[in-house]
Amino acid sequence: MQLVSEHIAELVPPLLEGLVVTLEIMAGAVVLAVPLALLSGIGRLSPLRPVRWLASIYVEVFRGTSALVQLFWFYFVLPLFGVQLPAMLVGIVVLALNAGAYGAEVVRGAIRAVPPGQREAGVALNLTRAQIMRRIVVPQAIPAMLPPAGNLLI
Amino acid sequence: MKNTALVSLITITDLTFRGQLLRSETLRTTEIFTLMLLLYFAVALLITAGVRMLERRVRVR
Repeated sequence: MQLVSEHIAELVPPLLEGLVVTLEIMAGAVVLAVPLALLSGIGRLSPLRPVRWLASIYVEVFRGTSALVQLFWFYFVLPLFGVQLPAMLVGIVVLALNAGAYGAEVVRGAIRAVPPGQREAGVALNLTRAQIMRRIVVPQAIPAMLPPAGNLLI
Repeated sequence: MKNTALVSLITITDLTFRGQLLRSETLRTTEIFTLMLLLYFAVALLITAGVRMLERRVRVR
């Protein structure tokens, strides 16, 4: 056990190097995942059926399959179809697609939690659907998104 | 963030992969894996603090 306490400090720098890479991947994935989550979360509530389907297929596929297998698939199977991507890019993209799919449900839940009276008020003011969404519903949904979004981010 | 450990399995030298390399070089398993946990935990705490701050900023009064 005396070996254990010896020079722990020398182990830290190489681990910190790894941590930098970890943080880079996280940052890249978050930047992609946030718009993905917003788009697909709102898309799942769209009045247009094709949009709803597209968003649902994306969310269900990425939420419903193993993230590890997705990663392997993009890294090892895609090259067999002639698409060879650098590992770093695959890591960022797959994690983003994953987080985006989970995030979509966070967004959808938060939007549905806005009281219907808010929408009705928008209708009474003769706002368009898009205006109601952008000016009334989404701003009120954001505070409700944060706690589960933080949960996801961690 | 914690899901990023998965990328160590497609040859990216992230924290997890680095730790495993280091372990195979030095065989100091206990210290390395404990340090790795602490590092992940530190990042998680930072993220939590950041989200808390955002939550306070958008709180409906």
